[in-house]
Amino acid sequence: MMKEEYGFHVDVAKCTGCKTCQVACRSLKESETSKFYRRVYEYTGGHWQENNDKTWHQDVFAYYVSISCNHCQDPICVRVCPTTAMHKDAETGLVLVDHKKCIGCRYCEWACPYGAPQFDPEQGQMTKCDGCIDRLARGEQAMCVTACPLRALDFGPIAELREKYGSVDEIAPLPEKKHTRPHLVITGGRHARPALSKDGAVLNKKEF
Amino acid sequence: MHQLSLVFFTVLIQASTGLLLFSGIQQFKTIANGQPRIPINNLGFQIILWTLFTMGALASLLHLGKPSNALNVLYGIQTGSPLSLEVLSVGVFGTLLLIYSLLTWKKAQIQKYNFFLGLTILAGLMVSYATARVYTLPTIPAWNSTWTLVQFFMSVLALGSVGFLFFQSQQQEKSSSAPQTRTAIIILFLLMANIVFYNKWSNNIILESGLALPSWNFFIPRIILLVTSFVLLLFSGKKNNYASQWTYTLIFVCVLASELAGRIDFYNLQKISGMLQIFAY
Repeated sequence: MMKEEYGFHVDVAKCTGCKTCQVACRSLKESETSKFYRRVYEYTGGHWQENNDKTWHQDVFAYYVSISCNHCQDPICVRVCPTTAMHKDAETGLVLVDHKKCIGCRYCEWACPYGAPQFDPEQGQMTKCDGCIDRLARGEQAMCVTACPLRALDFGPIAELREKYGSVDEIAPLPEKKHTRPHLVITGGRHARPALSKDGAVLNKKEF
Repeated sequence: MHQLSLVFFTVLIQASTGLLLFSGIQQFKTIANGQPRIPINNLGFQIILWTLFTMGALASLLHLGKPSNALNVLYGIQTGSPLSLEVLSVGVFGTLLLIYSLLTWKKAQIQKYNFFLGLTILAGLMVSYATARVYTLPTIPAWNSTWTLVQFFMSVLALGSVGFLFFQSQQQEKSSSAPQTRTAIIILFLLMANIVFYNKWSNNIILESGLALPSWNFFIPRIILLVTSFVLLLFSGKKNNYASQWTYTLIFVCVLASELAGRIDFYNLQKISGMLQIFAY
């Protein structure tokens, strides 16, 4: 039985896509990996259409979704891991990699619909967001949350986050929640599209 | 493509299973008639079988980022990880194969070990089943289907049937292989039909995902290779006698190349999955 189950809150309405969270995380984990544990997706779509009276109207939209590991309730990466290297921390419910066990088979990378576990070729092993578990032990917030200038991110026990921000946990371009039950709460803006929506596309793919 | 080693692993292990299956059937059929014409403990057969199995098993290790930790896969057996169970099944198959090879080594009468042979073949088929389970992940729609299992078993049958003809052709003894040729013709026909239907099904998934997926680059080459093998087999079957070694070697190489290409296409479909779609192309 976990003492607490931690998760993230992302306020899409507040996020301006400045990527400070992404950079702060990367700076903190620089000695560990060259991968981006947190990624900010720029999701845009819509069209301009001409009316009968020759005027134009548009339904163009854009929003940013900042995502790292969601430290899911039922993490498929943990379920499939052949070495039990991928595991949930007993105290915090955070999904962590035990590098003494990991063989770098990348099975978790295939299975995770959020693309959270990433293979580091230099280590030959998987790496991922650990929810800044060492900072958490010191009573500090996760680095991405601390760095966010818009206060669009939050991190804490998921029960508290759900009470505070609601229970929405899927939005385009994220996948459906049904396979892993993510510890994620999203405050969608007025443009937010449902998961699996084909209305828009991620435009900043090359950043990753 | 980081899964290239897995392409070789899956195809070569399935080829060794198929080869053992068809040779085993041949051996079971000759129980009443005494010793089979070309027994499984024949040196040439053992070389082909072990080359396929060993190369496949070694290829799987190349996929690991940290092979020195490889034994840790045993931890996953307790938790039921499909990958651990696949590794376990390969280990069981390899062990049974080794025991059977040692038991029958240089023996004239090997029929008394037929039960053990059947057990080894069953273990080989279990490897293909376990491998299919690895890929039927709910988060990867293009893999999460019975097609995965069907494809793997079609590989066993196709590579086994033409592999057996190839093996027979390496023997000095000239003998009719018409029944085996007919079986291989039927299997190749079924394989081609399977590829066409699977292509149609997976193209629908690609369309649904909205991706411009550069998959199925090998669809046309595969069909060409299989049609070539099919025609060569038809020609061999018509003659109703032993076609040349080169013909069967060419057929085996064509089917093997086709299966390797098909497996590359299969792994490409993994990219239609959650956020991976974003990074795929």
